[in-house]
Amino acid sequence: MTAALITLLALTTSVVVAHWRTRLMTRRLLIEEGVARAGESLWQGPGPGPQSELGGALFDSSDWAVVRREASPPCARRFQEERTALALEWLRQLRQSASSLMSNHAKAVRSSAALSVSGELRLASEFFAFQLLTGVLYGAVWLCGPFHVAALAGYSIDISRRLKEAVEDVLPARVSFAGTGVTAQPQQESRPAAD
Amino acid sequence: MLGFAQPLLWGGNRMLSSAIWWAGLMAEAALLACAVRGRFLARYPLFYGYLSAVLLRSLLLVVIYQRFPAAYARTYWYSQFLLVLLGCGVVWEIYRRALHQYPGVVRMAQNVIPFLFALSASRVIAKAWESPKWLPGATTLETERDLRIVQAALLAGLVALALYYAVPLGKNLKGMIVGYGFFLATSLVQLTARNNLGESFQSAWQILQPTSYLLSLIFWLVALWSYAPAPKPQHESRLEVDYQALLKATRRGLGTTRTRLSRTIGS
Repeated sequence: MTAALITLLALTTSVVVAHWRTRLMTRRLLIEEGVARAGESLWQGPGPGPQSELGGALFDSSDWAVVRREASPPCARRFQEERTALALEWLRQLRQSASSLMSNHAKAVRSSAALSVSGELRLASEFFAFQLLTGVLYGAVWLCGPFHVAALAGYSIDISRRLKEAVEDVLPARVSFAGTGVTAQPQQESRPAAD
Repeated sequence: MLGFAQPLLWGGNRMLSSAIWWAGLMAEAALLACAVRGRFLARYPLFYGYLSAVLLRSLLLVVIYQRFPAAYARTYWYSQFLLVLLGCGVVWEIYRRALHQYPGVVRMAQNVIPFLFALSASRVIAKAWESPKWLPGATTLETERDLRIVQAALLAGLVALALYYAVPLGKNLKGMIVGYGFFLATSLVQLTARNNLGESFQSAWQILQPTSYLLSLIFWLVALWSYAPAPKPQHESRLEVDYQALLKATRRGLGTTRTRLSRTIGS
């Protein structure tokens, strides 16, 4: 019991220290390169949070393939370090924009007598799921770099799409529940609102 | 809680325990004096009621220890359970004072807090049901710990709601939360250690317990030196907020952020 507690404490401390160190390194690297000044947001443009085009470019591995092929190993390593730093900053600011959205919502509804408990719980669960996902991605980018993470995410999305197609092929388009007259249709894919 | 220097302690430890006990008494008296002088005793009646009960109990224990030493342990534990119940009043005071200006948060608390209570108290009730003495724990220590877990769960739920909805608390309430939260956390650790380690932890516990309570009293003394209530909401209470529209807008905003992420990573 005591050993487990000490291990947990040591693990938490090392994660916190590693996270803090990465933040410091990222900022230093970005300031060194003249990409940002201390305390300044990296992204410009309308709407909250970092723009998706920039994020897409950061996670895109085509540059990395060229650099790895053409450049010297130290240069390639430097390139990967810088891309990792930018990707981490992008993820951090995405998390921050979601947090500020939720904070504004909470401040706006806290005095409303019409507040719906189920609506709030659903929103909170969506927010925490998003924070968890971005947290996991942050860790993965920190460990493996943005290119591998993007490839892995693309691969898992592809697998889930193929799995869905396979299930839809196997199941009939309309399933009839014998004797009830009730029919069930496969759910339409719900697409989130575009930017 | 403060226990009068007990017979199990010896020499230096006994002197230290007595010093802590006297310091605690003075801190409790100072807290009550501040509230009387600042005329805010009636603003937090449950909190000051709890504090007065602790003070009276400490004085009563001295008399009992000197006149009827055989009854000391029994009186200590019975009064301890009374104080645990009065401690629920402190949590209720925090709830009442912190959230009453925010009907939305009150509505949320009215659903979340009973759920937390049911979750944490069900274990206590189940254990009491099975026990021949109608006590949830096999020992008095275990019973107190189980009841403290219920209080800690309720306080944690309240704090989580206040943080989530960014409810401004004011210096007095913040101090009450920090002080009582610290006391509950240290009590849980010490009661668990005493229950698991047995007599070997007894002498350390007799110093640790009043020391941690004394620290809570110091937190309270700093925060409740003068009356500093929670700031009143500026303009939001006067705004008629269309809640459903706000909820939809926030969910849409969160959806957009999520789409941005999935497009970027999955592209």
